[in-house]
Amino acid sequence: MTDPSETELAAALQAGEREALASLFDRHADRIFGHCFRLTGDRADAEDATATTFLEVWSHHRRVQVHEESALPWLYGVATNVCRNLTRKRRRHLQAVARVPRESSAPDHAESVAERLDEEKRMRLVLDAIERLPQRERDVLSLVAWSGLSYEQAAAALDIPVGIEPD
Amino acid sequence: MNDDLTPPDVSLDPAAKARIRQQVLAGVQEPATERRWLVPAGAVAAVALIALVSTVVASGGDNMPELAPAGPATVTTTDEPTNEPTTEPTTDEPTTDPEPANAPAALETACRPELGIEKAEEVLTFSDDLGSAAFYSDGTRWQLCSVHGDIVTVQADETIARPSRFDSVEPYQVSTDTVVAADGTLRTSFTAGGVLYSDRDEYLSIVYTFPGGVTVPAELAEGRDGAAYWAMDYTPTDGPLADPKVNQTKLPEIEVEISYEGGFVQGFPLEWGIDTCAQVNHGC
Repeated sequence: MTDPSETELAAALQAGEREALASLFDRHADRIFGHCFRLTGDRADAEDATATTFLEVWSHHRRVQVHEESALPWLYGVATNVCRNLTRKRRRHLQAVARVPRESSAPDHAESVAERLDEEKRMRLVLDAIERLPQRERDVLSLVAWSGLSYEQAAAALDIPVGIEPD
Repeated sequence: MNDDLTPPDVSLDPAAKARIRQQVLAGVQEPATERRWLVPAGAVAAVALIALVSTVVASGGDNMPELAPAGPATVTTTDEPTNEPTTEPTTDEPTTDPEPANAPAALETACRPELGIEKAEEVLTFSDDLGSAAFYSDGTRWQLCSVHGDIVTVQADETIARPSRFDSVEPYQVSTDTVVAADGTLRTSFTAGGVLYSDRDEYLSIVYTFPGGVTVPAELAEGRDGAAYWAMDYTPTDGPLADPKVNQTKLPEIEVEISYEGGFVQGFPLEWGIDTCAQVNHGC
């Protein structure tokens, strides 16, 4: 039996089928995580944002869009908005008495911990370097140069309102 | 591109992926067509039903209780009113009570002179066995008024459209009324409420935890003005807060916890006397 196409998955998701969400997660969670990491510079934040992205997808399942036979641009769009808001929320929460529940995963070995810290440090340097770019240009850079989307896919992704938090 | 501007190639390790997958799928247990902002679990909704002994109405196609819009339509109460929260879900079916103890008209009469907003209209009401409360709005500002016994309490009026105090304890401060109940005992009511400033779909719950461990989830509902409101009203009947000899300020602080979709949790302790005196028309 062949795997369902993204168009079929999108239709199933629009119909409220939970399995469709699970399939999309299995297919794209890694890429969404990578995108979120490149936007936040923090693995834990990226994990939170990945979970939030797919919960947002479920909340707005009727609005799922397929672009060139792929739901990925739409997912990237949702993730971009989620990460932006995550950063904003993080700032807010740090100002207050806030905490983000985060289940601890398996214990890390020192080597992998060091590796992860190095990754985060490198990513923060990159983010610092592009900090002066307008938000929109940073988003395009992230989607096109780092995540490999075409300009058309990036345009589709950035035109997605889902996950935007009203000011 | 300079190598220094090349992001590291990171991957989601299988354990983390499995955990996130579990988180996501656990968060979508309920049908996607249901509104998710009210309260996440039926049991919690049942607790809220008991806790507030509210004038609740069944919302169309939605199994969750809602605060009743102001007015005489389909007002229901539980069979045996009690405002003591419990962790046990109830199966009690609401029964119609055409003349609730705290009629909207009485509430209106008591609250109107205290309101700071001209031409404000009642947009949402709720009640327990000791009192009633209502949100009033003129479409741009809102104000919460509660009546416990013969004490009328209003909190400061606030804007609907723009959050003025979103990331602090202030929106979650409670007003405190001490009244003589019908059995002659002194009882203290704690009331809080406000507008859900952000997209209400983000909110999962607002829960107060009182000394003694009693948790009271706020009701989240839409007013007739279209704004989304939350409200919490609690009158302890036992435990330290029901004992008039106990100095409240020596007790642990009330805590409020706001949960959002995606796992965000925001929490604030309420400092006695500072955050428990939200009323603006009388002392504490």
